[in-house]
Amino acid sequence: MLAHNKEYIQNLEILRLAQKLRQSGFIAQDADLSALEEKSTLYHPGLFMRVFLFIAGYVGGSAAIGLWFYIWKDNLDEYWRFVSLIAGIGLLVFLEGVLIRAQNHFKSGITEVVLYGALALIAMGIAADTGADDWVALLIVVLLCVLAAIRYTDAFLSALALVLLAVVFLFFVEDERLALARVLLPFFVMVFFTGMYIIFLRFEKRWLAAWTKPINAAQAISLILTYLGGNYLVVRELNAQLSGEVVQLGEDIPMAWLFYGLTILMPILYVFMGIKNRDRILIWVGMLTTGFSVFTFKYYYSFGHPEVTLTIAGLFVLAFSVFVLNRLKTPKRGFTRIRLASANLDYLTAEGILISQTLGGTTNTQQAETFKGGQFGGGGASGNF
Amino acid sequence: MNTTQIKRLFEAGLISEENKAQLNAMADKKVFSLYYELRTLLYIGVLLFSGGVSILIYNNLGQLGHYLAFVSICVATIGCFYYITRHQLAFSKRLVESENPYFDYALLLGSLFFISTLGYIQFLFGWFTNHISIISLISALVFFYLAYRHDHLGVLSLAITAMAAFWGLAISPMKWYEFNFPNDESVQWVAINYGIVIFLGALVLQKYKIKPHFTKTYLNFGIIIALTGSTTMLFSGNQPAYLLASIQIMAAAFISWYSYQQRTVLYIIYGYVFGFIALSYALFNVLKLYDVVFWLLYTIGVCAGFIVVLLRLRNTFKYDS
Repeated sequence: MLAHNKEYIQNLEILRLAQKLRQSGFIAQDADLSALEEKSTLYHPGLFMRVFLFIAGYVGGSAAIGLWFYIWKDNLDEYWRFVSLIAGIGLLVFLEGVLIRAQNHFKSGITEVVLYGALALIAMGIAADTGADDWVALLIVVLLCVLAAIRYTDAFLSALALVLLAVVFLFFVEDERLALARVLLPFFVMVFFTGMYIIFLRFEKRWLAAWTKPINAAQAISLILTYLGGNYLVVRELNAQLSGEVVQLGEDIPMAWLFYGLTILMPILYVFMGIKNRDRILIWVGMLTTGFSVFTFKYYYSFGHPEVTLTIAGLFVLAFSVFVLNRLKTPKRGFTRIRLASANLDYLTAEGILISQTLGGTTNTQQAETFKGGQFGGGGASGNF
Repeated sequence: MNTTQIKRLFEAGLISEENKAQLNAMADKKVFSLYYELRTLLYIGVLLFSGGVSILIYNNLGQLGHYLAFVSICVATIGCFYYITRHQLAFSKRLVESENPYFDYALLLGSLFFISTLGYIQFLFGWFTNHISIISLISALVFFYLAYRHDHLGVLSLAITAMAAFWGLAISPMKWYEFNFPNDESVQWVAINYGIVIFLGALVLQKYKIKPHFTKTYLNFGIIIALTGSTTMLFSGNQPAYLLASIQIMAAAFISWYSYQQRTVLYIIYGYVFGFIALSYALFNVLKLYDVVFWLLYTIGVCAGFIVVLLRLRNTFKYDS
């Protein structure tokens, strides 16, 4: 089922864990990890390297496809479907035979770009322009993503599959005759993705350890889609898009109170459940959706003074976090405010630059006027953090 | 992290019995850290609050309101710095991490309020009217002191950008999409020199082991500032393109070599991207190559070549993150 060797992945993970623990002091600084290093034969570079290899592969691959189209542009009409299918399968063979088998790559950036490229080509060969309904074509893509996510234990593909599945539902109810389905869609989406979440929660098993990342990604996306299914803004705007009916001034969508309630309660429920079950995914999705709920209400009900809202919200968030931090001065029921593992310097560096860029008050308008043309664009390479 | 892995590490003799129990408690979520969650909330709170307050002040018309706002910002600044001096740790040339969760944020908030205070002084009293860059210089010096005294990378980044502002550069790498190249040659020279000074300064400081973990931040800024300056100069055509392009390619090669020596991959990436820009510019504008097939082949070749080189070096960068 898995293209990679499970034992190799375990060896890699245990080495990474040991390095992390050595950084945070659980393992002595001078401890000898060479035995673990020798066992870990997979090529799995750090994040920068992976992103860069991905980009280099993407640019180079795009140029290669461009070149191919440029040379064969006169003869493509009949065979393009067949050719892209063959090219996609060829890429998959290259991925399995050369990168994974021979070179021991595991999520190296190259493997991802080859895999996504292969899937795109295969999907184009099978599903594009067949004359079938949009949702059927998309369903085929979803199936491809699921199969690839399982075989190559890929988190992005498992998340993408679920998002595309939600889009399939949207395409499905676009049909004029399905007005009832359109009304029921939010509830269907919520029930369906809650079910998905519960299923993926059950997948957190020891024997599925190699798939932890795609499973976690699927959990997070299921939670987000469940929330979006009941979010007032999404329901209102999508309904207007799909049915063409615009909500008149002074009117509201049917059952608006329910969606208002869901918009408020879902994030709270997520955070509460996350704390209760000690589930980091629930907590983070809860924090994220809280932000989107605030945005939803601001979108329809503006008090006309965004700065007052900002200040009060800031004060509230500060007060809340200070309150919790103070409560956790001594750990309560196992909850602690101290960092347990990972003393990662790269994290600190990235945080520093993030702070200077989002909070930096040094470049105010006065200076920009004083130094005409003093704007400094920054290089294209600076998006690395 | 799960209990099986911990057991394996314990059996390999890497962790002690005591640490094993502690790690097992973490793996079983008997101990659950909210460190990142609470820090993120604090950060969001500081962001919203300082943003809201500054807009409030900006919109507040009427002098009385201004003086009131000025006094409250002064009080807030002094309050933050008082808190910092109360809770400060001893200075060390190495990494100092405060156990106090608010310390970093009080320092950050105090620094941001400090800039507002200076800006306000100028706005209300006009003290710096003739030398407005003094504001940047003062804040840069104060920030450098605070960053070194209290070991704060965020304040260090603020210091570097403020110092650049003093020299006439407004740096915002996060806003690269606003692409606004300075066409003024003197600004470009300033960028190149400032970048080089930061780069070399960081290496000197590292040699004397003064806050060695700051080096990465310095080098990041230095390389990006200097190479963006020279790229801009290349595009603006103020100097002969063939000369600048070859210098930039050599600089990129030097940075890649340095990166290789340091066993870190990040600067190789910078060197490669800026070298690629210079080479492409030279091919297009100096050698006047306009053939589509050539450019496609060139792109394929450059990308493939780079991938192959990086994969050849895989053992060097195996554990680089």
